[in-house]
Amino acid sequence: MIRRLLPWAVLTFATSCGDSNSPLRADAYEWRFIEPAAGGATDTLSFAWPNSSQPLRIWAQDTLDLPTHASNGIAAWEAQFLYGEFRGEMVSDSNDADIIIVAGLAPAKVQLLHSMARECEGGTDVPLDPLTLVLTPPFHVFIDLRFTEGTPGVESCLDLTTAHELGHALGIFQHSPDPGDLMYSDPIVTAPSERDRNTINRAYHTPTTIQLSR
Amino acid sequence: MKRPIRVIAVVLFLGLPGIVQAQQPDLYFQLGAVWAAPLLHDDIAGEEITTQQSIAPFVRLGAGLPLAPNIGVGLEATAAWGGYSADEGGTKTDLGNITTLSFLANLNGPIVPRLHWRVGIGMIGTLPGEDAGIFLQGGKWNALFSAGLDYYMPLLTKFDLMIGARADTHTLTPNQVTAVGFGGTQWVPQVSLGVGLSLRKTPKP
Repeated sequence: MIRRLLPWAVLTFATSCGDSNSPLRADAYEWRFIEPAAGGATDTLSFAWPNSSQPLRIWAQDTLDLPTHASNGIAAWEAQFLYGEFRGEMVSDSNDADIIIVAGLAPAKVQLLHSMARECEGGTDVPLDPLTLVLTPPFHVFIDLRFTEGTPGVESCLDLTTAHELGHALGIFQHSPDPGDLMYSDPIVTAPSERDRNTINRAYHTPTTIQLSR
Repeated sequence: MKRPIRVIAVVLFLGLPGIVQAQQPDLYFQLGAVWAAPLLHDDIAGEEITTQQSIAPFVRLGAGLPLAPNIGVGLEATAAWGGYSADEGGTKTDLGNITTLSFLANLNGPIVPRLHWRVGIGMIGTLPGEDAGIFLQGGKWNALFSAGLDYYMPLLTKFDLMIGARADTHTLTPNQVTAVGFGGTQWVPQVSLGVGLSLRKTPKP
């Protein structure tokens, strides 16, 4: 009996070393700041929160249900990673936060990424010193209504805009050219797309040029 | 009605050793450790990432009955607990803990009186400590194939010391992995070594 079964057992084990095929993740958009540099050249600036910073501490102002929208945004982005590259947690003290989310219009600043959805808008202030290329947290995210609270569509707009701005705070410093992506400048989709996932994964597995200061 | 129940009770509490001796059933437990090959290989922007389980302690319970003079049939349940991590260029990220439960139907028989073979098929379930990473959408039950050897040494009147070595392989396709575009089937070979007690199988002196 064993003479009949043993070869099958050995064959099964020997042929069982196959790997699944990892996705190519080729369909991605540019996520880095492309800054003009001396002599007409360009400088490519990229950032990703290092593993040592995880979980990121996120504080949201207790208005417009921002803490809930922030939690939803954290979950949406965490789901895009397989290896714990980003983990977020809400904190109760803004003084401890890496990312601060408040209600209101974003002030006019140089390093600002702005989005304009239908019912609301958002902005993310990237705390980057362009001379030293050192980034000093916290990021400030601004979420503002374009219509009064309770207007149909406002809640989902706050949700997708908060997630969009969190995408900027995680290191996507450009907008996608595709309206099918959450990181499109005037976002309409409610969750990160495959392109958003590919982009954020590439951002977290490509050497960065911006240093983090604590 | 009371009579059969009484008979069963007598068999269970008093007569089991007698049946054991007469039919040479299999009954054993083992404690040991299992090593598994990487759960997943990935490549993101040219960076290779390997997800690997740590060597995990396990507890195993098994039982069986003779099927033919030198063939037995049995069932085995194993639970193992360990951590898992992702390794990217030597940098490890702890991804938490996982528990694996496996159930195996097997055939077994002696090669020589003290050394027995065992082959089986069954299912293995990966239960993540928390829904995160490759197990964000939870674990899944997968096919399991196993082959191994058990060595018995007389220890007590009714029990042998049992040393079991297994080479297993199972598929692994967490929902989260397929959701992000992985294709094909990941096979995860694993080897384990356990020590425990078995109802006596070695001949009495």
